[in-house]
Amino acid sequence: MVSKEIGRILPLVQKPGRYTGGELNSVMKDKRKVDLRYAFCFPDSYEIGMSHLGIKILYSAANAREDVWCERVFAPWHDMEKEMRDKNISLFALESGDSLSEFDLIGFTLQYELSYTNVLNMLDLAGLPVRAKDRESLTPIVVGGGPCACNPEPMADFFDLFMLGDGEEVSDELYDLLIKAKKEEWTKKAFLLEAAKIKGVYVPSLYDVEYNEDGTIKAIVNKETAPEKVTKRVVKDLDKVHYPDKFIVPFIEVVHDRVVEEIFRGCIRGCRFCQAGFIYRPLRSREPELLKKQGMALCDSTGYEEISLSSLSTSDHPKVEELLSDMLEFTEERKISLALPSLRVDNFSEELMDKINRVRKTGLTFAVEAGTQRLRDVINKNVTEEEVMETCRIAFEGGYTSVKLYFMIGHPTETMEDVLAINDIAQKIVDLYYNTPNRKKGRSVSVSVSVATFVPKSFTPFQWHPQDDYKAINAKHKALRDAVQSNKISYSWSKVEVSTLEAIISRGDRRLGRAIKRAWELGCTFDSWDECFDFTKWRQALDDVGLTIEEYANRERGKDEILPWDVIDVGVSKAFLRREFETATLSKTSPNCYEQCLGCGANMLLNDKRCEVCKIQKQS
Amino acid sequence: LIAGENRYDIRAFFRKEGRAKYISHLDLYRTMQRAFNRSKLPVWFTDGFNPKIYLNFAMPISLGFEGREEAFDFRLNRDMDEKEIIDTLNGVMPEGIVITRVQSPEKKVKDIATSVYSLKIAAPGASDEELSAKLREYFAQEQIITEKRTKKGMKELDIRPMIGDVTFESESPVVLKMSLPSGVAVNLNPTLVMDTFAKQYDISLDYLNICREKILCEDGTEFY
Repeated sequence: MVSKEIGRILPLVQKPGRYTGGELNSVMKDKRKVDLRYAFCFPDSYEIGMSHLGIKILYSAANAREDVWCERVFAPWHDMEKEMRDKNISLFALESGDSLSEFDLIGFTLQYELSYTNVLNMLDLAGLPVRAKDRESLTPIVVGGGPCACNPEPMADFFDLFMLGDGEEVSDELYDLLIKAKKEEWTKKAFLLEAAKIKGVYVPSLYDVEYNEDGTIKAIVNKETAPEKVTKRVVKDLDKVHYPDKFIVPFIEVVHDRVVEEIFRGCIRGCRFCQAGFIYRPLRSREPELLKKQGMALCDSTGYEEISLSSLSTSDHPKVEELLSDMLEFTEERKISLALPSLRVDNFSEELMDKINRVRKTGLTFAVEAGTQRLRDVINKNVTEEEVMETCRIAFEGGYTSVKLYFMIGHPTETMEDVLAINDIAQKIVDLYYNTPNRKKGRSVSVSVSVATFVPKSFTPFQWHPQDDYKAINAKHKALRDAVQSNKISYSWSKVEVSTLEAIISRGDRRLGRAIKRAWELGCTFDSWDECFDFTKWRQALDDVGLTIEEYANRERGKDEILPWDVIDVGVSKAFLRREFETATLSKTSPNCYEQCLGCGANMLLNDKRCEVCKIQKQS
Repeated sequence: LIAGENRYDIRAFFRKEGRAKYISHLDLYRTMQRAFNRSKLPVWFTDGFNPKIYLNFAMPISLGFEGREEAFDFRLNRDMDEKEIIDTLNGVMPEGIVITRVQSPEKKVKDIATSVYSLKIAAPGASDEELSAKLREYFAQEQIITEKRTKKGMKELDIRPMIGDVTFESESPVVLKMSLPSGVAVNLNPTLVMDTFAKQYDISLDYLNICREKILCEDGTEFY
């Protein structure tokens, strides 16, 4: 809804379509006829937020209830924020145009650490105190979820509660409780005490954290109704859970402007640097037949001309070939292009290639992650150079002329030799192209190498490991840049300070909340945007509250140290992660779930304590 | 409807109003593509490696403007009843876009010469009376010099001869109607006319609404 006040400032800002609402398939309800008004907030721009699958699922699931109206809120870009602050316009939801402060429930999805300052800014733009303890009334209750909530501690000061794990499961119980609390006029404290009893709900104010003199944690003490550990929620059967049959179709172009189908959750791989590979376990897949049906319904209701299959590794779907055949049946007929992101190198068969060749050619992207076999073994990226070369050969023969490779530097045990080997792989791919007889004639090859900096994350085997210090990382980047000889290889890298900040926050504790608040006060917002990122301010913020970069980013955690996120149970056990860490230090790999069960513990989240992979194994 | 080679050329007229005025030209193109996908009408796709629904907009409309009678052309692979086409399309359009009629194209896009706009404006620092008095004085001038951005930098330009009929539709709120060139060769945006006014009189303006009412051809007839 565009009010008069908002209408007056829209001609003054870029891309007003970000703020109007009214897109096809957005949901309008009568606010007097619902019991709960829920503002689903994505703490980044409209274009980023509207590309996110989680918001589509949870928006649709919430609005399927008659008693709940869920609306969307995004972070206004700087130009809009300025106009809003000048004209005293409160942050509003796109559907009703009402201020965020009028809602019962405000939910933020925490997808990356660098969106945290936007959370504070959005609360402030709505005229709400940013700290949970300063918001005294029952509503609005401010909740957080998403992957970053698995270490909620840095944001503990600002949220009333966090929801751990799959949102579909826990949300309904929370809506019901808040509706009850509103009707019976509970205090906020009474509500939080009850909410803490819901499985998967973490109420930070019900835990006291005690510290040792060196800043490490001495104890995490649960109080009153709060459980000692909060276990994440999981959807047990992905075929039975709510999936939208409609997506909102934005007027302005967003980053992922297409139908997205989630083909499975979880991952069988266990790459030791990858948080998603552990926190989304166990593997749960959707049936090809259902995916085809959903895909057709979504194309009908949106008019999108592209479908993307979403998962952590498309080709690991237990029935990937059947899935692609089913999908291609209708996409080809309807001139819809099918996108397959997240393909792995090692199970990229000619058959699969043939199917991929029938869909629109985009680039080929491989996440190789490290330059030498030894280092790939350390990080458990079970991909060999031969496999990379073989896949490239098939791709070149299939007409591809460009390849994109993803690497990281700063992995545990990395040497300069490992770093320089990144360039060797790229060069070998260039040479391979020119030695492939059946390649496309008259075209030159392009190999783009994209190098990120490793960030140790919670709930990974490297959660104890320090991040390389800033100077070491920069020296490695420079050496690699200098080594690139061929003009067929383009080399790009992300800002090192960005990774430093990610490392600080992702393994941060509750004390870090003060630094986040301070950084926001100093003017930090949209930290994930290069043009907005200002590390000087973050340095000052840490300094102002008496914390250091080193204690968070570059400190090795002790084996028996209490980690800030120990209060959360994501399924995989700390003992398993430690075993994997120790295997890594021996430069040894571990088998994937299809090969052998390592007893990670995620199966314990399921009713029968047996995960899908075990069941597939039993059948075959 | 006139048959082409296995295809039927259609010109559709539509209103773009309310929130839909914030859809830019490029976004409108995408929005229409998707609406046609949803409609399942037997539309003609362009040839080529990535076939797209053929859509040709007569005259792009500025971001933030409403349009009363905008036009675009598309093609069908079989003959269909006009009402059926209109109803099918209106069943899939997003809020704010309404197809008003379809026909086979008569005029050529290059014949378009003029757009007629209505502008609802207010001046926060002045009454509607003062504003309309100043506007009358402004349009009574023999010359209106403005700066227009060209490839060679800013250039001084007299826009007075380009401004056609100006009438007051209403005094309070102030609603102006004006005809401006909007052909392939010469083009004048109403906001430039008004921004020049605001600058000359050192007055700040609120554009409450700008609407393109009509598109006219060189001979003064409507584009159809």
